[in-house]
Amino acid sequence: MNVSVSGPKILFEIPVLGGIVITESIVCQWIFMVVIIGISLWLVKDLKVKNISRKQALVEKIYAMLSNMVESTMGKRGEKYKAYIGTLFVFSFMGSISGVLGFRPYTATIAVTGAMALLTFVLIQAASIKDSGVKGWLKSYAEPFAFMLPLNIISNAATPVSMAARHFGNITAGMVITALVYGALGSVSAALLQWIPSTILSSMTFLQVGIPAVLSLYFDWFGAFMQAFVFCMLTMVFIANACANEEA
Amino acid sequence: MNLLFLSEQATQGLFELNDLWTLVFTWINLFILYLVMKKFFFGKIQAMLDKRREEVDETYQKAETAESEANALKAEYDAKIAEATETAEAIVSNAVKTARAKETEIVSDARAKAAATMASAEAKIEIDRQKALNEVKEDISSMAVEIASKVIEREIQAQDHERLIDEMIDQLSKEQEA
Repeated sequence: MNVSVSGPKILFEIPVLGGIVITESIVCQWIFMVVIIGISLWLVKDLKVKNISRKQALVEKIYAMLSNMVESTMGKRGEKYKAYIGTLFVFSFMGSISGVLGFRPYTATIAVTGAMALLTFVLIQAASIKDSGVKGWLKSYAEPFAFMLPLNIISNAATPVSMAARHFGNITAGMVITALVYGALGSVSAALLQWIPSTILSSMTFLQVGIPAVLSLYFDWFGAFMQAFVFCMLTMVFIANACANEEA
Repeated sequence: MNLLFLSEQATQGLFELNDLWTLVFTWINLFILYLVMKKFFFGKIQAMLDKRREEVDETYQKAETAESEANALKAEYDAKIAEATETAEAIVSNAVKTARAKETEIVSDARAKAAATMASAEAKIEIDRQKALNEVKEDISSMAVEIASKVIEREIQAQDHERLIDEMIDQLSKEQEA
């Protein structure tokens, strides 16, 4: 049995700044950016006010769901975050689901989920500064008591770390388990078929058909959706919490 | 199996340059994706929804305007109809009055005419009677004259005799009438 799960491969290197390394994760992102933008452009093609098509009904439904989710979590201020949350969700979901299409999911790279989580962190701090000013923001680190400062810093820093690790860990675990089960199923079917003299028939790893699809349903589809949802939800909740002064 | 979150060809470490580039490119990609999606997807949908809301508001406003206009028109028409009914009633009562007057006039006219006709008929009858009487008188007098002339066989002054006989007949008729 030979199962290998690896990090994203380096595809090429741009020889500037001491070599800009382009990995599988980045190329995958480019591919899915094109796919996402393509689908989005197709979806919003000839939007109408009246007599809407089925496609538009679907688009509106999705948009209403996003609006509801953002507004119920963030209130009125969610309006300006709607596009970002939507983008983040699609980016994360497509990244995780790309495993189904045979890609290495780019959300199974900590640098990618880390980048996403750092963006969330920046947004949280920005929201806090915007809400209570630089002074108030700095002061919020020393609340409720001055000696809480290190704890507050740790807890703030822990937010992006935990978010990045959660997303990365879930998708990577799914990827690893799927690979392990797939390899194991191959070994089992090989062991079952080894008495057949024909090498063609005995190498037919029939157990690898169908069973991994069930796992994929959970790890790829459900897991991808849940992680994208959780990531967006946390981003919204943290941003909303950061601006406690502003009337929601 | 090497460290999952490091690039395959990287030396083993927790985080190094390859991953930093992945991080930076992820930011760039996410930012570009965000801008494109905001402008061409979410923005478009929101614009369409805003437009729809505007149109709905406009439609409601139009409907309200139309309703108030209709109400104003209805009030106007009601007033007009009331006025028209009044006028119609006045016309009818006027007509009835006129008709009554005419009726009386016609009836009295007819009565007058009938009376006139009656009077003229009576006058005519009187004249006819007179005429007939005169004729009879003439006939009798001429017959009498003839008879007398035959009796006397002698020419008398016919005119004198006629006058004499007329006087006699007048006397007779007066006596008769009396």
